[in-house]
Amino acid sequence: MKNMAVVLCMLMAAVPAAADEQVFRGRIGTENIEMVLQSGNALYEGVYMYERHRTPIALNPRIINRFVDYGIDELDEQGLPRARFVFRRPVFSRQVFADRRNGAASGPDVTGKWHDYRDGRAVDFELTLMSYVSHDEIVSDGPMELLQQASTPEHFFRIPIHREGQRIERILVLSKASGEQVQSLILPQPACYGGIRTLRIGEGGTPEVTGRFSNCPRYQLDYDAASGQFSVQTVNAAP
Amino acid sequence: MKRRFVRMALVACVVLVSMIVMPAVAQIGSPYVYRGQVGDHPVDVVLQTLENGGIGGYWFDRVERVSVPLEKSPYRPDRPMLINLLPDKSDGALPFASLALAPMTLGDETVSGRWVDLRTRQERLISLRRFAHLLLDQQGEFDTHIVLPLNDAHFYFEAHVRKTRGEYAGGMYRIVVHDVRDGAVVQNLEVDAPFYWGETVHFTDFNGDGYVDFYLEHAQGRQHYLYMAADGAYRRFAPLDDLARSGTLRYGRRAKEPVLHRPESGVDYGSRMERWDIYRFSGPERIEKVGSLDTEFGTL
Repeated sequence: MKNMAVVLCMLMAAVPAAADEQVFRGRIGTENIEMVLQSGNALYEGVYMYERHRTPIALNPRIINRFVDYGIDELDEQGLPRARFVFRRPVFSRQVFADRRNGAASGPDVTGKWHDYRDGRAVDFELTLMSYVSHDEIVSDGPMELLQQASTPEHFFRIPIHREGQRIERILVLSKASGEQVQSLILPQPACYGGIRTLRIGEGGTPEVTGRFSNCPRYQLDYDAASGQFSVQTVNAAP
Repeated sequence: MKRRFVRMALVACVVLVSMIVMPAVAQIGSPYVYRGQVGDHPVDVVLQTLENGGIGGYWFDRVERVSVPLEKSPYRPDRPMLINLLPDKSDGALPFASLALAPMTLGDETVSGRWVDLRTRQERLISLRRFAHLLLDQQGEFDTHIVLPLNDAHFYFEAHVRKTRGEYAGGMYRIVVHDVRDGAVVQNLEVDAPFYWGETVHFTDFNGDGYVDFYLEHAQGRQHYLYMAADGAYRRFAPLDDLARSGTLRYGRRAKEPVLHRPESGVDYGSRMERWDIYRFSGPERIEKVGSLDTEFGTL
């Protein structure tokens, strides 16, 4: 009984605040983009990437309580707002997939305007929900390889997600120049899932896989410029 | 003994889980007023924590004499914060500037950072010092002037608010009306209303004359102040006070929209119907009933 109470407490404390990820594909004007929105407790954050440029662009976290003409800023290299996505007709529900199958939904799930703060330009955008990831379910119209917000000057990263529970076993390394996958790094032990920020850039620009809890293994991805390859170094193994 | 341990463990568990969940759903906090400089402009900045772990408030530039709302943003104590400035509170309003604040916790003695014009990317240094904490619980104590959050073409309003330790509520004792063009004092209004932060003064243009009017929420009923263009000053307007005392008032949101009044006797709970009397200003200082409207609950 004593142990049960302690285990119950540990389990409850270990449950992260519910966060869902929605993966979209669509376009801004004529430019194809991919976007991931991550939401939990009314906090929305995200990342998006032009298919042509292949550099993830961070979206500034926002607290959104009402889904009326709300905006999320994209950030420049200095972390300052550069442009804003103003969402209209947002559909973020996993119900979209069922509605599409039975013909109740068609066309883009999200539309709106992208406003460039610097020149005042406003361009239409539209997005279609491709995948929905929650703590207990993954609904996807294709392989689920979640784009990461952090990137290095030459590479960006994705994490394959295969099942609920979301332990991360591999990191995919892709070239910004070609868009091709250049490496699939297998982690010695599964890492904790952190959505679009599972991988972060640490001191000195080195990519790191960390977790929110002390029992998450931590890895560092060391880059060898001569071979152009990353290798996984364990910083902290799981206890 | 075992039961006691389990009970204690569960209590500890609830406390631990609450500590994890609480920051995300923290309630609205008491406002902090900061004063200082942005570049060469003196400014007042009011910051307070909001629901869902947010921070917001407003910004008043004493050179341009405009008060603008801060966009609700995630509050991350001791981490850098970005807070946008909005031209107004309308849905879809685009920010025109951003405050890039150095790591801070609300209530810190000083706040620093950069003010960034989002169009030109021009930056100005922010240097602020805590000026007042409008804590409204029993421990709170303040005696200060604050600019009220309103972006108006004609005036801005500064209120003298005061609270002594041990009181349950503060009071608002004076409203100073300033001309937005040069900051000159237009009028000193002696008032006496309980101070409940955003709930004390409500601005709207009652009579559609293009000048903002306001009412004070008072324990004895609303006190309406109407701008009398002929006098160039605000005066109490008793007819609206009387209507507010005898029922529910809805003010027109746009110029020339009528004032609606639902008398206390105008509710029929059996049929779920309510009667609203329609009032219009027949002159800038005269109001008269022009008709009535029967509606179902909640349709107005």
